[in-house]
Amino acid sequence: MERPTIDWALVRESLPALLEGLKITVELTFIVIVISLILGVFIALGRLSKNRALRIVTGFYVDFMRATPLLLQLIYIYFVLPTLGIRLEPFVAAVVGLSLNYSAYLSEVYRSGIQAIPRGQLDAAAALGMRPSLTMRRIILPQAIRIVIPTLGNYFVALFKDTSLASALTLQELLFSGQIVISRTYDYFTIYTMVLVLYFLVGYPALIFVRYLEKLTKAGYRRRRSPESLPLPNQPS
Amino acid sequence: MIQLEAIHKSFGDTRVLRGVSLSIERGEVVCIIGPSGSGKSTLLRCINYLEQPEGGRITIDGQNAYRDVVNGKIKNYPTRQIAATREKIGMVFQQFNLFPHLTALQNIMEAPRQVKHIKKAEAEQKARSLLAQVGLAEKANQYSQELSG
Repeated sequence: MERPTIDWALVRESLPALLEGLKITVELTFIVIVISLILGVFIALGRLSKNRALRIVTGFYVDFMRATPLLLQLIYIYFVLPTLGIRLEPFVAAVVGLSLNYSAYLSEVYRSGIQAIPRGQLDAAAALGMRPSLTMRRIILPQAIRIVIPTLGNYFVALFKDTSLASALTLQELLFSGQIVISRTYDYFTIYTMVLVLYFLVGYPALIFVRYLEKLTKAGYRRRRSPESLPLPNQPS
Repeated sequence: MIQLEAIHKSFGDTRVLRGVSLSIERGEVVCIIGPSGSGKSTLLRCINYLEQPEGGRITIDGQNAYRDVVNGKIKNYPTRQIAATREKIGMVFQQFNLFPHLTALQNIMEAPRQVKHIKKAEAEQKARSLLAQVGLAEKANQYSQELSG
């Protein structure tokens, strides 16, 4: 059997199409992460609410999303909803499906962060006359979000990769763009290698960034250096 | 005037407070002394309702502070009203419970700003003068974790 080789002419020819796909992948990632970061907070608050019905509904939602395959959820939205009269473009279907799924996962991350805040912080806020909603907004969430930033970063990278599942919805993101070229040229080796390299070129720097975030949040709260508070002499840095 | 009447509080099977009564006049300084685990903190926490006693009455200036008893059932006042009462009660916690995401200055300003809606400049001026009073003026912009006890 012949050893596979990279067809450089094909690389040059197909690169624009693949970069176009990568652009869709990145766009999809950013849109979904923004939606999920916001939606996730509200789902987490629902799960921790005093209202029992709200707790049950949000709890079931999260469990349902976590107990079924993401690929199937996407397929269901794109292929089954039209039979119920809801027809979505591939990109919209991908945004909806990925956001529903990721907001469920991110809500669990937020919940763990909220529950990690010591009881004493709640007591202190209550003793100052803060009501529960204000306590959540000013005291709990700002601390919880700092705790979960590295975890959120990891989900961000995972999402970047999971957008490839949208290829099943004929969305021309990076993976499906490659498959389209392959259906014409049958050069699996060259194209899938290109796709792999392109994912890595974006995913790896993203991972490095997440690692940097981890280090930053581990360092804890640093002294704020505002103009009127220039470093004091003999201040340990 | 703060009055406690027959305060009862249990944690599970442990009965911590068994009918504690106490009256504190305006301007009076009262010390509560007792061995570790005797319920001093629990009693203080009851006064601003961080703990809800199972029985007894807490009144401030003659008014029920946190709840009424209606037909033998305890009925808490609305959250808003409880918060308003707590606003007027100062408390220092055993573990301090400073907010670690805020600086010393912001820790002091948080309640005046968010609860009493005092203007920022005014709150900051007051906070700085308070810090100066206790000799912490130059620590204003340090986070609470960096302050020693």
